[in-house]
Amino acid sequence: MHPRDNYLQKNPPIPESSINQKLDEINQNDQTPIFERYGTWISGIARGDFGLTVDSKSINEEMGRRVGVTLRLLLVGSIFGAIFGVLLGVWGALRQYQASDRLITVFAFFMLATPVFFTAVLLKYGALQLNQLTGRQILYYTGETSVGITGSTPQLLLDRVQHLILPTLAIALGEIALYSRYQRSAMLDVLGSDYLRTAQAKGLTRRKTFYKHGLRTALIPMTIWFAFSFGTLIVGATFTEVIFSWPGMGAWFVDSVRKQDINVAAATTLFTAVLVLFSTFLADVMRAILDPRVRTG
Amino acid sequence: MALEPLIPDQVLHEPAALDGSLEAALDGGIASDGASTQQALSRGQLVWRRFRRNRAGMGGIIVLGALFALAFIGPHLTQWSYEDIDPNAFLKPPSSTHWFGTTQIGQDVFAQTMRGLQKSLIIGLLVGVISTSIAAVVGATAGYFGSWVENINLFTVSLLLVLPDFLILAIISPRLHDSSWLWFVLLLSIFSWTLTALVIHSLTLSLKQREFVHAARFMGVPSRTIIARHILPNMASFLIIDATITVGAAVLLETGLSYFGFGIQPPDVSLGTLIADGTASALTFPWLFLFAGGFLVVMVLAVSVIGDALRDAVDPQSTARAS
Amino acid sequence: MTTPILSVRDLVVRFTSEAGPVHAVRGVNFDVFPGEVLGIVGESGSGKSVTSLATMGLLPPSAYVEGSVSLEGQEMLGLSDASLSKIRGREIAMVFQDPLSAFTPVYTIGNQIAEAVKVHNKVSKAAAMSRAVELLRLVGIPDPESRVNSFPHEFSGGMRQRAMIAMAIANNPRVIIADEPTTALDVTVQAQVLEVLAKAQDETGAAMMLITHDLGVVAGIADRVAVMYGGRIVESAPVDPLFAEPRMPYTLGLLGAIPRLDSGRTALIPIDGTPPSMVNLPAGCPFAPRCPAVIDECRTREPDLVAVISPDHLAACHRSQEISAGMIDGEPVFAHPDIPELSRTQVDRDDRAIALDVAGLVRQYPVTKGAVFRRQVGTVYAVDGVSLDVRTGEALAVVGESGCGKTSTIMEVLELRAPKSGAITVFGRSTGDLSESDRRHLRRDISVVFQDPLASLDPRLPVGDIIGEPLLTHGIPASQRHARVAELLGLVGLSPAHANRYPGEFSGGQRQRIAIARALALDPQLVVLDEPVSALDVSVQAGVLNLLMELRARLNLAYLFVAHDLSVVRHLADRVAVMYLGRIVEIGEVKEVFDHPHHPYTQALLSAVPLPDPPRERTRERIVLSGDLPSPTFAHVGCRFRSRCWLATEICETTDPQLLSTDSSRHRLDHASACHHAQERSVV
Repeated sequence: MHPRDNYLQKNPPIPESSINQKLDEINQNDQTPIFERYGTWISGIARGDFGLTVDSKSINEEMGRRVGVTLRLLLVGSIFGAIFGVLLGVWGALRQYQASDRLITVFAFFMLATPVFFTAVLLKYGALQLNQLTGRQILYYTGETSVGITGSTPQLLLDRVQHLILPTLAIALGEIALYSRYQRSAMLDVLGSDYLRTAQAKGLTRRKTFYKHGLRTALIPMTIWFAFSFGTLIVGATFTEVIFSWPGMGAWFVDSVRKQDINVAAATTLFTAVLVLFSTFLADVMRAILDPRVRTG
Repeated sequence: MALEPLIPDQVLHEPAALDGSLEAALDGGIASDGASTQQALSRGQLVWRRFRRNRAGMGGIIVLGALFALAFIGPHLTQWSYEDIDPNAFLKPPSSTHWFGTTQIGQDVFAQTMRGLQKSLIIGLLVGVISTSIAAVVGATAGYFGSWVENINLFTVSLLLVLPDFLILAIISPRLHDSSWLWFVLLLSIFSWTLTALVIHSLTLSLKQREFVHAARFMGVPSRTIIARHILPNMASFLIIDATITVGAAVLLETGLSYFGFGIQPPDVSLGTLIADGTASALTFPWLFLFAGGFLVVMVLAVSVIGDALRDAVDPQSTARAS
Repeated sequence: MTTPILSVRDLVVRFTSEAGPVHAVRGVNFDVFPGEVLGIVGESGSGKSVTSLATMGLLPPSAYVEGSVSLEGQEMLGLSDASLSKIRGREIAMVFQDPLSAFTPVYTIGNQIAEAVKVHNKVSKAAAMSRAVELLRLVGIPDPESRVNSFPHEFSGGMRQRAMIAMAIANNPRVIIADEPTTALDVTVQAQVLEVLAKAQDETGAAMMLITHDLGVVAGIADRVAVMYGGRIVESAPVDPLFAEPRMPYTLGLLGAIPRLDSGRTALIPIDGTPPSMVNLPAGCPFAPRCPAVIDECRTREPDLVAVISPDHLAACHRSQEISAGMIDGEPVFAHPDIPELSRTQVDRDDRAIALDVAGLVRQYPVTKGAVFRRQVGTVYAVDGVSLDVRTGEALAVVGESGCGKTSTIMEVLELRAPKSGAITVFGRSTGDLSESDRRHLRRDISVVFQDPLASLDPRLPVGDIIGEPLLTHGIPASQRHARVAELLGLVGLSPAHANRYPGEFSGGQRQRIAIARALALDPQLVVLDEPVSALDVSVQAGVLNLLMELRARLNLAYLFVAHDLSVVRHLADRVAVMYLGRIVEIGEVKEVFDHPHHPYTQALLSAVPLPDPPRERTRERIVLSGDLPSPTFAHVGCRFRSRCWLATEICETTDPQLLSTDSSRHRLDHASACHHAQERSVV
């Protein structure tokens, strides 16, 4: 990225010395050797300081606001995705090739083939139609809250919920589809296993066998898929933030690339990498909780 | 993104189960000696037979074929090229002159959509093939040779896995503005092969322990020949399925990047840039994005349905379940 | 006799498959009486396991089942899942084959046994758990109070099978069905498990249905035996008459095809052909295509299972009245095959050249943890100082149970590389100082046949290419290759026309013949055989064993082979080396070692092998070893066997016993054992 480009095309031209001064100030001067810049940056990180944006604002402050927004979206998305996805997957596996299973499969395939940005735009379009049809502003599709809204707490809360529904749907639908496929096939793998037969042989009903022995074991591989799909989730959140104008980390990143802002891009990328690492760690912990073979092996 | 859990054992083929003798499978224990000699179907024929019975899979193939035909023949059916501007039609809804309507500056949406479809199809296929090839080489050599080759290869894979690929791509690909879009394809491939390589690595580890590989080694067959003659062909079904899935994933990745303006650069178009351009006025002029979005969904859907049908055809368990 | 407790009538089971309906079970009738053991014997695909699953009502819903299964007068077929689940585990219980996959991996053993108690009794969790401890103690799990909290993967195979039995008897069932309960286990563990099974039956007074492919197991434990073939019972009788007076040619053939521990090297009597496909069964008797006594009627009408000799001896054969003592009209039903005699027996062993010499071989594997950055956390001492030699034209068998290092030993030899410690010399050349091209060249003289013919042939190559691969690798021109492949196919009893078919189109026995043909392609002098017949059904195994004996005589081959089946060793080998935990504990001429074993482990091993001879099997003294194989991840001091040895004293803990000749007065005797307290004891 070339932050310098931001200043070169200005009219009237800015003198090179003041460009350099400006770039030095934010530690993004490409005439400084990369190692030196990296050194300054990394020592900042070590002190918990992410540096300045191209507009000379503190990244830390901005990040404080944005991290919360993104985490809320990710958390809601993954919780909804995991719970409904697992339920649909189990439901489908137990009714394999029946109408309900086929319906879930068709839904999942459609959702998996639809990129988040298309889902989001469609949702927006649908919300608009709904609002027009009812003549009331039921769903909002811009921002986290209405600008300058005031009122009682329940009103504020309702406003937030009205804003939250669409972005959450946009991100959760894909997750649900993904998890339901994983869970379905994990469940099918388990359904043919010998130990389900053993459990039945000792007198458990088919149903109890499925839930107590089957589902419990089929959850183990899900931890791996959780870790793998977390990256997809983050990308999905990025689209969602941009399309619904949520001030999150993803939207900021897209912005930073357009603005050639190295420090912000680095900060958001670092944030993502930390999240991915954390999700892997979380997956390992969950796996250890679920699978005694991992615990003792 | 349409990565389904792939259980290596099912992908490596198990001829015993392929014989369809459920009895032998149930009787288990001592290996089957009762495999019939009368069933002279080769594995390929069997897979094809199962695939053909899968209506969704056949539908996927037909749809994908139709999309290809449309993408390459379509542009010749209309007088407009994707760069043309019709000064008499700004933001017009679909009509007999402009089948899919026109844009703000009078471009023909049909011509643009066809161009975008072409681009996305080609990019998807190329990335599918390239990334699976990289994965095959890296994964198989890592698994077969072990020691430092394995360490280096797996380290590379882990490194790429930890890097947030979408963000890195977003940062790098605008630098390729002036270069050919083929560089973009290469870049997409570089970030698409890692998971596949891990699966191939573990498949190779288990194939390496198979006795026919030992047998080849002990008769003095060189390692490269063993990988080419015995290891890779025996995971061909996985490679084909994976390449198919990667095609879908690559199309989504490409359109996603293009959506933000980090992928295919103007004046060229892809389905992603079309949807992005349409989004701004999506609520009032839906034809600007609906056609591009619709084709995108249908294309990825067709590809993933084909992948799924292939897996079902390869995995003999799926038919046992079906019956 | 009293009324049967379990009664199966006209049981029919069908599955759908790619190739058409699979007629897995076609009209099976049998009764199980209180307290008795009914053995059901059959090869793979005979329908025996499907019969047992159908009896339990455990077949997948897609299976078509018809007939009647009645338990104490109550019809089980057609019961709802809820009613069936009240019977299963309480009235009728099952012990499955593979104990690893038969336990849910995420719950403790105790938990799963307690679950079986709780599902049928209103008891507290604690009470169910203490019942689980009690049951585990009953089946001989040491320290059951703490082991009850172990997970399935923390148990050894033998212990899992004991726990499985504990679970089956938790509610004192009236009938126990044991489906191949010992198939995956080593022979000494099998002896332990069979003992526990007998004890469990004693304790509960239950009747037992024992399903197995092993006639030896049946001989020792069953009261009555039913032989299954092609989805039907073809002969059924009390155990003694069945073994002594079989009236169905299939039973007769099966008994003739088993190699026996108690008889020396004679050609086995193979049954030609392969078991029928259950998809397109021909009309008539399913055994007709393989039966030497076949008459026209056999091909048109399937014989009924009717009484011969006595009311409780039933056979399904049109000619069963004519068969007597294995003969029809004074001619044996199965003719004894001709196998050329070994020519080299006259030459003294010491005068023959050494094909392979292994001295002080050590093979260790690192135990690693971590995915990308692996670190070593331990060492497996797989082979820990093994010395042996194979002379030209001689067959040396290495026997031992899983984990003893026998396979590691031959794999190390086949690598033809310098071992970590010790030396390997092949035809006078040390593997340590071979160049790459020398090594390639040497590979022409030493070839290998693996255990599983399905896994050892690349399924994607036609048979001609598979057999031709060694020729191609060693630069034999194409024209000669084709001729040689055809010649080799003929040599192993296949037709040259088979060259362009794929391995998947052949039966197990034929595939193993293909593997043997490939091993012989370059005229090797030494062939390494890794469990060459253990993956094959008995009736097919005999043919392959005969082929191996014949080839050896004709081509003057030396064999180094690994086996766990001592009966096979007795038939094929000249010399035998018994391994335990990475060491050879006894070595010598087969007859000498088998008839006069000196090492306690050899004695235990031999005594654990069941003989297909009911009267002898009942009276035989059996040495049942206690405990499991110790972990090979320790560097052992002293005798490796001492933890399970009944002769062990102080010296065994401190001093490693050396291989010494068993008889100091007769130095020419080829027999040595490594035991401080070696003394002869006949056990066969």
